[in-house]
Amino acid sequence: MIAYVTGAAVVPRRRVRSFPYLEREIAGRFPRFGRFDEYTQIGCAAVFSAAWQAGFRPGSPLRNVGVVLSSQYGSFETDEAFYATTLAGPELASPNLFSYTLPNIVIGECALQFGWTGPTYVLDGQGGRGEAALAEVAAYLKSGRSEAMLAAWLELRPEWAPRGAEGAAVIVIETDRKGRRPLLEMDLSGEGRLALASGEKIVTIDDILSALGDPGLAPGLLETRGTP
Amino acid sequence: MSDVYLLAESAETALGGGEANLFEALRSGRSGAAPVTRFDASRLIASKAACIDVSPEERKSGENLTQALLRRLFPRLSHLPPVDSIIWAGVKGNAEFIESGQGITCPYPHLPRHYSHWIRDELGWPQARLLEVNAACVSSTLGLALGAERIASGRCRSALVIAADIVSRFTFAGFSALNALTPDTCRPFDSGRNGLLLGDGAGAIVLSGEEYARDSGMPPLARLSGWGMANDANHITAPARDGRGLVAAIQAALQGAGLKPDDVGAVCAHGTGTVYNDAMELTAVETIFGERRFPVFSIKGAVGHTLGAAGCIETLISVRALAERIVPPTSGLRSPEPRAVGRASEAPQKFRTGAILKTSSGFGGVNVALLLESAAGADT
Repeated sequence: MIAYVTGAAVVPRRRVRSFPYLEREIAGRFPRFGRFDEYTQIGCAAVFSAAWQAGFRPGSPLRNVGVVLSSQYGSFETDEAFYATTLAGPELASPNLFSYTLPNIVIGECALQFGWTGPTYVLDGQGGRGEAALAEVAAYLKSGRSEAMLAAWLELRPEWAPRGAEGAAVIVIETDRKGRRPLLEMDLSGEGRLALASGEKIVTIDDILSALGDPGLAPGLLETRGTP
Repeated sequence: MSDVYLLAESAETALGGGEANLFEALRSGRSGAAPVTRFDASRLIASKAACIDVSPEERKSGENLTQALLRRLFPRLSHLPPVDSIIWAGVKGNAEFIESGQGITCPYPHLPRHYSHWIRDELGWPQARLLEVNAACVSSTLGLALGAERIASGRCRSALVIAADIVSRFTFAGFSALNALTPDTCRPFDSGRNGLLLGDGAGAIVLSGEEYARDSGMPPLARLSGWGMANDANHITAPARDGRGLVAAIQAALQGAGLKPDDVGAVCAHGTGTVYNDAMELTAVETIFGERRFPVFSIKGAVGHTLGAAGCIETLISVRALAERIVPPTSGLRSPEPRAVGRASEAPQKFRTGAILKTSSGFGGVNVALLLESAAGADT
């Protein structure tokens, strides 16, 4: 079975504030973007960019499109920020921050903007970058239960966490290329194995980003942060 | 596609553990709601939760309360042959770490992977593959769907879906800030409902295909014949008024099971007791089942909303209900809202035939539906 990579985005954590789509498109399309926590901002910026490239537009009719996101720390930084608002008294807890203390909320923000009604959940990031999400996405597409899926990796590491990459990487994969020229063709027919149509093995989102050969999508852009 | 069975279960709630004991407690109309003593809630409007007493002696050194609850589940699981996959579905396992302010001196901050590794080690199943899912309050219901999908498609033979969440200061203050907690009594589907009750809870279910079931020598408790999931694409914390995501999830589950709406004999609802959630669920029920009056129940007025663990706990109660052909009362219900009349009841309700539908909905717009049938498949 052939599927098509129709969109891709990489948003390093340090770049989200100057991300090119941010001012022009994202902030205007996400009315509450400025109130998002940083985890959600980075995730939405990456999803928006990849989805836009794939031809998705906010406000479109509902479609059976899903998002599976890999993350190890999830919303941990937001969790800590929320809890800090309770320290002077639980009655002072921030309702806005509490809403973002779940790692899947970022997907919900994107789903409601684009009208995506497919599977939407978070997996831990064990294995390579986005490996778990990519395997899930491939299974959904092979089963025919979703017409398009986004495999995402999103990581913000708390200050005390071991050094590691941070930011977001998102790939859009569809079973119908809609008459457009895809960025890549993937072969989903192997049992428990993904590959490019050229035969090159695919395990992680990085493998796809590398195959795209676009310096703006290089996995190395996801810089490290944290305790060495 | 292979059949998927529920083979073993274990649970801990404020009303006790074990599916049979818990079912009887629910059937008798008991509630675990009590004033919170774990932290100071005196400055909040809500002050009750369904907490589990855990003695200091029960907590091993370095382990948190969540782990103490999980440890209570293990005796009912450890005799089983090793499973292929462990799916961890707890939602706020890091809350105790954050509240303690332990920082980097703590061995680890209780990320999802810390629980899954710890469970694998404690059960002595070193070959089990680990998966950690988070989809807010549908997490373990989703975990059951993902486990079932893996077994049905031949990707694994068996999966342990396990979750625990506690009533923490973190979650209590958060839900209070959203004005989502009841100031008095949680009353799912009641015309006077005014909020949810939080609860401690842990639940585990082993899913299997025929091969693992045969190897274990255990008779299946039920068959998980259908599952579906869908997003509302509506709001991050409020459900869609038209219940469209839940409707789509139920339709997918029915289609997967090869069942019609009339084949469903009862619904174990998410039933949080909040105005909007319960209204959405009743809308979805009417969309799928029309005007038909049949048992729809919630156990959250009795054991509280146990967040990630809720799906597992409610599914195993549904399994018991399926076997007994009776659903427990909806604790707290006094005056059902008009659409709940003839559906929700303050008394146990019998149902003669059909599958049980288990539904869950959560923040982020997520909805999951499961269909449970007797293992022999003779219900419908």
